[in-house]
Amino acid sequence: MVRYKQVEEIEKIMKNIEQVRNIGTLAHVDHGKTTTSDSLLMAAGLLSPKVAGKALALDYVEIEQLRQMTVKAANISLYHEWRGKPYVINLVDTPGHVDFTGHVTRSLRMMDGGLVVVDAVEGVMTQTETVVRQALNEYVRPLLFINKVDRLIRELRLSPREIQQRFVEIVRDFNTLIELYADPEFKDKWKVDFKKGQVAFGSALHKWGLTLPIAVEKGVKFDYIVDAYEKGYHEELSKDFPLHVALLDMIVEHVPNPREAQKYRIPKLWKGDLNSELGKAMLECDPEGPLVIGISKVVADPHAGFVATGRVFSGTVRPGEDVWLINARADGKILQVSLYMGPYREKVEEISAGNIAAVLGLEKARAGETVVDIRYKDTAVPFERMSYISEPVVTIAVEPKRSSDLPKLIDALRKLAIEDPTLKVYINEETGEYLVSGMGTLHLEIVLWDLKQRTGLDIVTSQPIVRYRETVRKRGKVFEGKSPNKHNRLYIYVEPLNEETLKLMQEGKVYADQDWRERAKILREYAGWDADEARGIWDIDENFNIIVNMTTGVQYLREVADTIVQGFRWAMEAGPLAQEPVRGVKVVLVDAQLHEDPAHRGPAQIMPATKNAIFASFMDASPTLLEPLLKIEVRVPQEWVSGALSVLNRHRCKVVNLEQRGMLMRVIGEIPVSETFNLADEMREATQGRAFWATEFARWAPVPQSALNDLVMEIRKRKGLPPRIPTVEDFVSL
Amino acid sequence: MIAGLGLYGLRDITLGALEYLRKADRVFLELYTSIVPGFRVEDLERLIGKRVTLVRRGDLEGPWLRELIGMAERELVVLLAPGDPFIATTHVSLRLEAAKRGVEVRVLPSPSVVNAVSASTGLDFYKFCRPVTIVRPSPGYFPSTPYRVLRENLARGLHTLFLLDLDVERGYAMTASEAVDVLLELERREGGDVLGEDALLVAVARATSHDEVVAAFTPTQRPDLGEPPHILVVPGLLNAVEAEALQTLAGAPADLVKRWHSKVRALVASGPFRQSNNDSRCARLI
Ligand SMILES: Nc1nc2c(ncn2[C@@H]2O[C@H](COP(=O)(O)OP(=O)(O)O)[C@@H](O)[C@H]2O)c(=O)[nH]1
Ligand SMILES: [Mg+2]
Repeated sequence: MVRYKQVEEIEKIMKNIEQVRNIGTLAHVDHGKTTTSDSLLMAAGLLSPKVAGKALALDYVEIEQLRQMTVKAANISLYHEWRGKPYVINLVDTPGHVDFTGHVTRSLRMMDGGLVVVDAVEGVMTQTETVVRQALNEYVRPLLFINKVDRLIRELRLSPREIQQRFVEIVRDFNTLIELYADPEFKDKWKVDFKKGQVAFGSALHKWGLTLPIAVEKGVKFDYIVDAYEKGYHEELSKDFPLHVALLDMIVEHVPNPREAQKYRIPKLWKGDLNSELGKAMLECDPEGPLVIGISKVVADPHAGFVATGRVFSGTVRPGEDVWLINARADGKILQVSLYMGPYREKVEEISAGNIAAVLGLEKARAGETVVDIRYKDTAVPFERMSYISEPVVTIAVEPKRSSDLPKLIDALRKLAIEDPTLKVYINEETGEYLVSGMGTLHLEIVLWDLKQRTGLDIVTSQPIVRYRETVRKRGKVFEGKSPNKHNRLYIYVEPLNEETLKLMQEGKVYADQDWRERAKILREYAGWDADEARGIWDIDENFNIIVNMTTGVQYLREVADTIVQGFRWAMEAGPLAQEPVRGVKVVLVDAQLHEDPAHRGPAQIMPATKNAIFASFMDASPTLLEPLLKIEVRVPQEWVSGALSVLNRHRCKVVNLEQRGMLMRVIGEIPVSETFNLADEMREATQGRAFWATEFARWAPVPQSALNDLVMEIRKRKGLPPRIPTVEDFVSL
Repeated sequence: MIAGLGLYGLRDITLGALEYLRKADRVFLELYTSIVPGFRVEDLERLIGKRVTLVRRGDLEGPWLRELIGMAERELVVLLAPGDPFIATTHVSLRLEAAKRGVEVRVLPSPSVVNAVSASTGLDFYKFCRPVTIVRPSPGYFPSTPYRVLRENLARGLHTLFLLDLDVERGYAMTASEAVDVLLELERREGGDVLGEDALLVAVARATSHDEVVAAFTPTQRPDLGEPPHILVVPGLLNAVEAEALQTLAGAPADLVKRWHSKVRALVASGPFRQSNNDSRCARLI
């Protein structure tokens, strides 16, 4: 039907890159991202108007419909005509809850512009700030859509003047974010201006929208719109001023096409040589160049296997092509190429540079992978690692009701972990429990729901458990770690990594398999590292610990370097205090003695020696636990604010800001994750359900010193560890 | 008291050791550092008339060691180890720990494959240089020491004895054939060229036992050696007696011996030890 014709038409336009835009919608939860995307979907002719209003087509996972929240990024291609020319807009849907920042960040890589949806009543909120900041970090241009204007009229009964005033405030707040977070080059260029048609406003629910130029052109005033609502003919608005026209006009005009965008984005996002063949082809977005795809998402399809979705940065992807997966260090063959229409994939013969493609056949690809033409196997550099701002903080144990279903559950868990790299799945060796760690309780709830859907199993889960981290607060003395046979000795000390180093790692600017010269330079310049130490880095693990080799002239060290690194990773996985992961520690190897014969310095000898030395110094370095803190924002009417505050106080929440915002009080604070499990109920009770609140991961912070001992003992007890905190002596054996 | 089991069955237990074993209050036995063909714990128990307790690597290398030394403070304790207890093991740490606690340790040596290799192959004891173990490569651990030792020894014209990796507790013992594979892979990685088609290798299986096999071969061949324990030797320069011994005892073809000898000579001549190749023998093993 229409759709098939559309696919061909879209394919044709996709080849002309000036007529392509890659965008996504970004928003604070509930500000209307899904409703907006849906409206756009309908306008692209891929779904009938009847379905769109209700089904929220992008939220094709049922739970998201329930929660009004998009969890997984899906992609669709839209069609729009502007000034007589056809355009294809690749629309990447992104999650609305910042618990899943990993997803957001990954989809940002695919787009050049972001449509930031802001609720006209609530204005710019914390998560608006987060998503705008993330977009700017990835050099994605944010445009503004002020949504839910109908609420200003119907609920707040604002006059046209007051509405305009409200818009000015929101635009000002929005531009403040751009001033704060944009690269200097774009601070001015990317601020949005009403007059230039860089701000749209309207109601996604009622499917109308305007920009100032359109309003001027059509000669429409606010009075008319207010009137339409008051007199009840607002249905007309969507016919006269269809939302998609306002939004897509704005997008086509103000989001750069992929070729323009890659000119400035490639130098920022890709660390390879810009003068190389690959570099030039990507800067030019050259469809004839060598194939480069940045994968941002991998989904297990029950019928097709793993579907990898990504952006073609250069070249043209076709079935049968041999490719190299840089991060996986593996080759692969593209079996099928498709574009997205709604949630559905449509098989095509090829997709050229600048577009979003779904490919089948790359079983080893994971979100964040860079896929290149096999001929560039030896020279290709991957995209800068996408920076994961959040780390898993909550864990639950899962098991099927019937133990015979365990294999099925494990298989589903494995697939989920592949699709969502922010999810960690592992086995507790002692208890045999399957543990799943995620970004928050909400994240895990959704994962569970997904698991149940996929497997059809009854799944039993434990209470959520907060994941702590172990770290040190000062430098420990150098300790000798002996191998079990006593013939190998490693001399190691540990110390805390400074904030600057942690930040560089979190932002993905410093990582394990980076060119060592470049890494050393960054660490020296931005984190005050000593040149020799910076050059001596052997490894960096996922929890932001670094091992440095500062020895000279140790015989056979090269042969056991990998084993020492394995020992380091082993020690960092479960620290000495309570076997929680270690975070933010620098491990320095200062000297070593190794046995003459390789049989007596194998992994079984070297790994324990490494771990012992690390743990001894760790216990000497003022060890502590870090707990995850969430940033919490509460909006509550004046009369309920004291109730809300007392709930927060009870839960160790540090209030950092309290201000009047319109008719509401806005409270911003930091609260430990461990204190949030019952927050919803208590908050509802204390404010008669009038508080609206949201959280997102803020940072790791040391637990109060007075609570440290009890907490360590509690975790040890839960894990079945000896009820005694280890001492240095436990690790300096015999 | 630490004593060796030797190489085969109960055959190599010395009379001195036997006396102690019969007197001992407790007898412990480790079997993880080597394989002794024909040895059965029951036979030993019958011979000495008491129970023998098997100890694992985790015991001797772990906290149990203290208990062991504690027992030795009060009673006569004998620890038995395959081969010679101090060759190619790390038991010296046990002695030192005991000394620290003021516990006297006596040692009774036994035959080891290190001395048997001269008997089995006829290669001159004086011409063996540094021995080395070829370990089974594992993820992250593929030491190149064996190959480097081989090259250094050959540059001096000396023989190399390769001990082969063993993980008795997991039922693994490297065969000479696997060992050659590892050496060839190391040669590829290190970019060397000593193990060509004319390289002379000698393997000994179950040295000195009644079904001992001694075989000369080249890197492309894989003689049938039977069950481990195996060792592998790469000879250096060969004198007339050694050349004859390899032909007689290991079935080496005369022309192979000759060609390998000339190759080693060329290696020595072009290597760092050419001037003084008579007196540059490295520190010897025994
Ligand atoms: N009144 C009004 N409600 C809206 C509008 N747009 C979205 N909503 C409602 O706001 C809620 C959240 O919308 P949704 O699109 O799921 O938000 P998301 O979390 O940002 O994806 C839903 O109940 C929508 O019906 C609008 O323009 N006006
Ligand atoms: Mg949504």
